[in-house]
Amino acid sequence: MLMLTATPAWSQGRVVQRHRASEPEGQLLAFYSATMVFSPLGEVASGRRWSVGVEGSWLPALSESQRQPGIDKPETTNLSPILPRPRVALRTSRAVLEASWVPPIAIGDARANLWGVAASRTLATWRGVRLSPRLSAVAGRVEGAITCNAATTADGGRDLATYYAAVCHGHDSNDWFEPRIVAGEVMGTRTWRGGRGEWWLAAGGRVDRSRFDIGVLRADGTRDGDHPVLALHDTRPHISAGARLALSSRLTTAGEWFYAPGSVATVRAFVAVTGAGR
Amino acid sequence: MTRVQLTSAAAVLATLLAACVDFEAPEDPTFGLPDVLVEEPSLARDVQPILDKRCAFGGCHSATTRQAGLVLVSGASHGALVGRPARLNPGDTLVIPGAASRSWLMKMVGRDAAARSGVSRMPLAAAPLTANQIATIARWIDRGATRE
Repeated sequence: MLMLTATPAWSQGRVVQRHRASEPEGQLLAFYSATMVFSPLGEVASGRRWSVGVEGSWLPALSESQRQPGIDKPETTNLSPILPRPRVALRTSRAVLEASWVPPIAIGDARANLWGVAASRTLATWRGVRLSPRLSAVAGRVEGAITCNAATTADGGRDLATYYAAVCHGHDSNDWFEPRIVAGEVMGTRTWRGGRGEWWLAAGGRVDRSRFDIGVLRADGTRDGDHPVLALHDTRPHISAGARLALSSRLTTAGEWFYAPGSVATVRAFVAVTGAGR
Repeated sequence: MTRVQLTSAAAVLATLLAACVDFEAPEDPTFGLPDVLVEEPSLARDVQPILDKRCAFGGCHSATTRQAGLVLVSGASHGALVGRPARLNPGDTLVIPGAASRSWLMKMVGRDAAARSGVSRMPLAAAPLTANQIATIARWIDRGATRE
């Protein structure tokens, strides 16, 4: 929980505006943090010991009105249609441990540096369904020109041009979206096709303290501290359903539907190399 | 195409269709402010809340940014507006007590683009003030634009 409450040095002295997910600014924050929840998609299949793979999560594009918090100017948030996420998972005698890291490389018009960790443990089996609580966390940063973007300005009218020249100092911004999510779920998992595959249902919630640092740059390139940091302060539910199938003795694929009410419904795909169990 | 392939394709299509954004941005042209015409407005009670919500924030007319040299935060707005020259339109005055129709502030927030001499409406690149909010500011000016 420490990462949820710590105030980094760069934001000290800045005005921090707290928002619930029901507010216009909070809706945008909750949408993007929901797309980054570290869901059970990449768990190592039963009977396997480890997996190393890549997840692809679809980021639905927002309409212009959805990108206008408080019917203000449209923000340039549709920076990438997909979030790729390398994942590893390890099954121990007691639990399944997962981790992910999205390295700081450009994905579309954004640059992400995201971490995810998770742990789950089967506590009971009921009618062939394994019941497992799962805890996960996501932190890191996604950078992009969201508040001030020359391409968006070019598509707008004179007012946007004036905004870009005066408020944006004629520069693209370097905004930081920082997900800070701790999620908990209960999963029900059942094997099928003679153990070659399994499906799961999961339901839970997340404590969301994600932030958006408005990164307007002054003429000298420094961050304009007069703009606030927007902070989400909410707890939201989500559900997911998916299936996993062993394509061969070393290759597994999975698909998942993830729904965060009030934010997003999205699909995720996963492919991994796996190692057999003991 | 086999039955399995057809089923798989249908499942993929159904899943993609089930993916969407699940919110609509609420439209509140009042920005959470009362949308009423105040007959006898005061700066502190009726006008300053409008300035705070729509003008006096970071990047615009805050004490730090001072776009067009104008600070509209509480405590500074009266001195910055009343009797002060309009930097964006030399020769005009931001607020002329008793004369809202001649005050540059009203031209800047009003809907008559010609009256602004080509300058963008304020708030910039955002929804305009409501008619009641504009009329409340005009009444404050017409009643003398006092500091209270």
